[in-house]
Amino acid sequence: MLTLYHAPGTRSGGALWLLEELGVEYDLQFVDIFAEGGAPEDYRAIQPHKKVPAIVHDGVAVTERAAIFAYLCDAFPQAGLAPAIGDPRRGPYLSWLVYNDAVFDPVLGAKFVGWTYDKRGVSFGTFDDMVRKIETTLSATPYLTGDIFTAADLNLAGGLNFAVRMQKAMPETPAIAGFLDRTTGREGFKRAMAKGRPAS
Amino acid sequence: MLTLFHAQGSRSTRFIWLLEELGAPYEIRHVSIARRNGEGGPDPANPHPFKQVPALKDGATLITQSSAIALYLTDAYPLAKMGPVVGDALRGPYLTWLATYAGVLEPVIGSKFREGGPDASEQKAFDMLDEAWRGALAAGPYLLGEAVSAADILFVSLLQFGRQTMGPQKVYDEYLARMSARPALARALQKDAA
Repeated sequence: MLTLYHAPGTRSGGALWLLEELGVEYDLQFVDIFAEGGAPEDYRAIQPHKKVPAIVHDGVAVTERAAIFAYLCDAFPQAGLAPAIGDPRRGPYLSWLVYNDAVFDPVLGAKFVGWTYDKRGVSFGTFDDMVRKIETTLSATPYLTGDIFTAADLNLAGGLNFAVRMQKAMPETPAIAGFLDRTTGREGFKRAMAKGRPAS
Repeated sequence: MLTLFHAQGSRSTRFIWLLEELGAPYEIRHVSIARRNGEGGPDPANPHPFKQVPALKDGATLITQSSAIALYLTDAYPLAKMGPVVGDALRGPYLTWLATYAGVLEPVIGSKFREGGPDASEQKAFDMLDEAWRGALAAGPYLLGEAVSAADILFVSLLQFGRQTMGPQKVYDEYLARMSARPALARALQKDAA
């Protein structure tokens, strides 16, 4: 039994997209994180910060996107969305999964609220370095770890789509535009977009 | 062959520790990094795109980001039992702690050292992390229960770096003492300096 806890228009959209790509059966639970006082208090047992996404698989809760993505792709390897343990692409794949949470997201957050900081004092470095790393990687190969789409691409594409195309907070270079077209053009993305809003 | 790119007394020290726990064959390449106090600087010998540490090379493959390196290594050396394998009921909690380290602990602790300190939402995130961490240790004694894992090495490194970063609770003192007593850490610290 697999359940995704999701709120429309939030970071949990990526996990929903991943589940669609994996092609597995799951139960979609909407969590109203924008309600007065946040999500219902009993949700804290699943996600201590009452944030989304969270999954519960066979009774075990998994939170944090890098963890959810790595967990699901290894649990359902037949979808081929993660290089297996021992595959030379496994290392870069894990690096990018974590990079999304540990660098890309905090760097963008800092930019949105206008923080200034000494890059030697934080773990995540500068906005310009982040842009350069993504641009350099996607100029060399169509996907982050080479020629094959993985869950690391999906994880980054969700945030990148938000930052580049919705917020216009990052330059839409040809390499980045091509990557966003390739990833958000997938049928799984469209299905996730359709399912991600509660029926009105 | 694994090569760890390392700078003394930095975020890479704990990977010497993990490699020692794993009993993996590895070599250390000492590199300089830009330190907070202005000392050091980027080292051309470091393959990390931003000349940070840790960086790990496994043959031609480069792995960066501490949580990614930890997961990569414990999966590569499953017999050392430093991380639950795919299919283990503790795999999900293990991945959650590793990703919480990267996605919550590091950025939130960074905000504590920022001028002006953490904002309200960061303080709230810190408080919840503190509560979850202490709760796990009280039930533990390790994050995943009875067995130590690479997630403990990441989390305890914050206490080793600055015990005062977290509150005065005894559960943290005991955790720090328990982790610090591990022979693999003693071996690692002998190799920390160039």
